[in-house]
Amino acid sequence: MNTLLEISGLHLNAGKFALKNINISMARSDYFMVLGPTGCGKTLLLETIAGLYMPAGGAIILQGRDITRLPPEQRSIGLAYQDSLLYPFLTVKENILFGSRGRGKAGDPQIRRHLEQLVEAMNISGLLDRYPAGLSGGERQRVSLARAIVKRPPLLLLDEPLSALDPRTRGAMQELLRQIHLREGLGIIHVTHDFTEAMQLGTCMAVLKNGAIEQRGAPCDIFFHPATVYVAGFLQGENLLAGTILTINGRRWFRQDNGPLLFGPLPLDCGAAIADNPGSQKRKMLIRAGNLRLGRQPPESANSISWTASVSRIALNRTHADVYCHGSGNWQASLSLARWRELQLSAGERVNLWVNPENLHIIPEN
Amino acid sequence: MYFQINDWFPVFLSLRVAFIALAAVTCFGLPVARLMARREFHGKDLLEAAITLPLVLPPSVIGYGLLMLIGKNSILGKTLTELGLTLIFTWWAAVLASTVVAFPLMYQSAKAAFKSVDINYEKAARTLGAGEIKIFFTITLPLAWPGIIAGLVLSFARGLGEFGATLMVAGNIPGQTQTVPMAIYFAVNAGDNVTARTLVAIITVFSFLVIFWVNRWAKRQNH
Repeated sequence: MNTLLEISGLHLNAGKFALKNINISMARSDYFMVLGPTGCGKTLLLETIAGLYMPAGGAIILQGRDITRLPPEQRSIGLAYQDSLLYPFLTVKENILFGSRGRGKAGDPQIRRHLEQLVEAMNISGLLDRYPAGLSGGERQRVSLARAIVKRPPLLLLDEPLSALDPRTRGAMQELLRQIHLREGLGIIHVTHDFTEAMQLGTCMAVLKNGAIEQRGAPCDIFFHPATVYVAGFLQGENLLAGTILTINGRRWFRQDNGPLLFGPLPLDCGAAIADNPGSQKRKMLIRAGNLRLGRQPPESANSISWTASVSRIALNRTHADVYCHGSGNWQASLSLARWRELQLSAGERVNLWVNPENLHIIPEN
Repeated sequence: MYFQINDWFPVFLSLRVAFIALAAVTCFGLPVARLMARREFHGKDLLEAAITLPLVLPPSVIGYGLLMLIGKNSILGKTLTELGLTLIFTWWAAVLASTVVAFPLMYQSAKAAFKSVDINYEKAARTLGAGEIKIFFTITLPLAWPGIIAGLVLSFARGLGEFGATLMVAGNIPGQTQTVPMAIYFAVNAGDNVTARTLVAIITVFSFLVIFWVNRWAKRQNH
C-alpha cells in the first residue's frame, strides 16, 4: 500500500476531553470515514491532523514526512468545515484564492488553471464575482471545498460537509465529493454522524467513541460485524438479541434469553471472539434486517433457523420495505420492494422468519 | 468683541491632540484587546481590571496620577527633562491624558469585537496557509471592523472632550496647551460668551459630522 497518512498513538488533551491512542493509516486512494456522535472528538481529530492543536503524544506522518510539530500553514492539508466559513467581505474568487495570495502565488499559472478546472467541475463559474451572502448553502459549501483544494493538497479533511444541506443538495454534493476524490487524486478524511453517508462514500471507516477509535475496517464489514454493542447501536443494528453461548457436540450455539430460539451452529469466526472472553458466556447477537428472511412458506434449506411470527407493521422506504414482526421476540426484516409486492403482506398475518447460520454475528464485547 | 483668527488655535490643538491620542490607543489597544480576547494566562483578571480602571476613576485622580508619573519631581519627569524632553505643561501632556482616558473605551470595544469573531474563521485561514499576522490583518480585523469603528468613535470623542486630567498635566496656557474644553471653560469664567458659543458651535457641528459620516460608512461596509 502506498501510504499517504500514518497516524500512530496520537494523544491530545483538550480540557476535560482527550483523544486517546488514535491510529489511522490510509492511502491516497482511500476515502476514510470517521463516524461518531456529537462530542466524540471528530472535529478535534481533524483539527489535530490539520495542526490546529498540538498532540501530547504520537506521530502524524504525511507522505513520509513527520508533520506532528509543524504549524498548520506548513502542512498542505485542506480542511473544510461544516459551515463553509467563507469570508463575507471577499468575493467567491478572492475566497478561493485566499491561501494563494500574499505569497506571490496570485499569478501562479498552475493555480489559475486549477481554479478554472475546479469552478467548472463544481459548477460555480457564474459565482466568482459574487459575495458569500448571496449564495445558497450548497453553493457556499462548494466554494469552501474549492478553497480547500485549490492548492492541490494531498489530503483533504471534511468536517460534516453534508450536514447543513437539504436532502436534494446533499445527494449532488455527495456525488461531487466522490468525483473530487477520484479526479483530484487526493485522500479524504470525512467525519460525520450519519452512518448511511459513511456507508455510501467510504472505502474505509473508523467509529469514534469518547475520543478513541472503537472499531476500524471496511464499511460493509463494520455494518454486518460490529465489534461492540456501542458500534452496533450507532449503526442502528436491527435484531440485537441478548442470550447465552452454549457448546453442543463441539459446535457453539446461541440461546436467546426470554425466548425459545436456539441459533447455530455459529460461524467459526465467532469462536475467536468468544474464546477471547471466556469469563462470561452472556453475549449479544446481531442479525441485520437484510439477513433476516421472510416468507409464507418455511425455508427450503434445512440449515436455516426458522420460526413463525406475525406481522405488526410495514414501513416503506425508497428501495425496500421494513417489515416489523412479533413472535419469539420482536423482529425487523428488510425486503426488496419487488419481493414485498410479490408477497402482498398485510399486518396481522402469520409468516415464517428464518436466518442462515453464516449470517449470525456474535458481538465480541458487551 | 468678535471671534478672531487666534481663537481658532484651541480647535486645531484639540483636533491634533485627539487624533494623536486616537492613533496611540489604536496602536496599543488593538493588540492588547486581541490578546485578552483570545488568550488565557495567569493574572488576566488583574490586568483586565487595571486596564479598565481609567474608565471609572475621576479625571482628577488620573491627572494626579499622571502628575506623579511625569511631573518635575518624578523620576521619569527628571530623566526626561535631562534628555531635553519635558512633557509636563506641554500639549504632549494633553495627548498623554487623552490617551489614558480613551484607552479603556477602545480596549473594551475592540475586545468585544474580537470575541464576536468566530474563531473557526481564523482556524480555516491557518489551514489555508496564512500566518498569525496575515490572519489578524486580513481576517480578524475586517470581521471585527464594526465594533472597532465604535471604539474609534468613542475614544476620539473622549479624547476631544478631555478636561480634568488635561487641566492638571497640561494646564491652560493660551496658544500652547489650551484645548477647546479649556478655552470654553475659561471663556465662560471670564464672561466671554462670544468665544464660548462659537467654540461650542464648532465642536458640536464637527462631532455631529464625524458621527454621521462614520455611521454612513459603517452601514455601507455591511452591504
